[in-house]
Amino acid sequence: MSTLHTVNKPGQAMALCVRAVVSGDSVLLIEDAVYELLLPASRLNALPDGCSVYVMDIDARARGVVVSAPFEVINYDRFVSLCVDNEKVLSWF
Amino acid sequence: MSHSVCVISSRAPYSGQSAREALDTALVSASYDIETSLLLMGDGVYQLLPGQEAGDIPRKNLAAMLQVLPLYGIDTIYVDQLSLEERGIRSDALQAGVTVLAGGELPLFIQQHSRVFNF
Amino acid sequence: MKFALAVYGAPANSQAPQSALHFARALVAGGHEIVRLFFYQDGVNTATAIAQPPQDESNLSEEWQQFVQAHNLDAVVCIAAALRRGIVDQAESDRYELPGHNLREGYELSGLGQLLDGALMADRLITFGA
Repeated sequence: MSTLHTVNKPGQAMALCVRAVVSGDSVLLIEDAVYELLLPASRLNALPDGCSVYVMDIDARARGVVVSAPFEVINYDRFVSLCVDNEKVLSWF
Repeated sequence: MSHSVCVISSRAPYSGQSAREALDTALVSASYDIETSLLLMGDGVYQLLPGQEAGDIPRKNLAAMLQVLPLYGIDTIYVDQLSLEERGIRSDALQAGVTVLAGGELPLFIQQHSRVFNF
Repeated sequence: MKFALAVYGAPANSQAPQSALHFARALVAGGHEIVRLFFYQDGVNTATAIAQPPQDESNLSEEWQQFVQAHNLDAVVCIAAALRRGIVDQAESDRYELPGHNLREGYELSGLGQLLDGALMADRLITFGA
């Protein structure tokens, strides 16, 4: 039983998301949350092992944020697939 | 299949309508006879501070609304312990009927519910 | 799979309604069913008929309405949140003796219970927050 967590901004939304994630969950950064990738002390480093982090392509591109491994850039079709593949979707904003 | 609902409220009580509208969602859920939990996280824990007198802002006192939740079938308000600590709020100062969840308990607690509403 | 979508942000101060529309289009393209759209909090502003962005910008409210109508979606705007923010249909305008009404066609004003119903009907609830 896994969960997809969407996050739409850094700060509290990201902090609370990380608190609710367990191993095997997926995290998707959308909108301003892509700025989390620039932070020297990103909370993404505190995620448990076995979590995948995805980044919405158009949101990163719009903001000039370059995404590199281990983070995976995805589009909305893939967002939909992630919603199907995980039993729940929690939205942190 | 019997449902259970968790409403996660993460905004301070008077900065906008979010806290009130999260609470309304929990009340509607409980009115459907669905087992409903209200979970306060982040700035949402400010909703529980004692001594709120919001009449001069003027707003309805949100803490007072939380206190009457048992009348609507929501007996316990759940609070994220770390969010309290980060904000310098002591859990023993909070109203009765509050259950503090330690960090490790949060994911499982949320997952117990079949539907989760984030606010 | 059945999806319910909740939108809590307004076009003018949040990307939420834009992200939700991208997502909804991908759902339809993927053959999924949208059993309910629910506009709540500032998201109710998405349903206004009288916002007029500059001509060189997209009109998100219009795009949403076209999508709702093209796919005959069940699009509900929370009545309490809408009244608070000045989004009303003809009936509410008459009831409160307001100078006009501005809810776009294709949307229905209804209670918060429709958010609950939608979430219970659907396999997944996806929320787009402000």
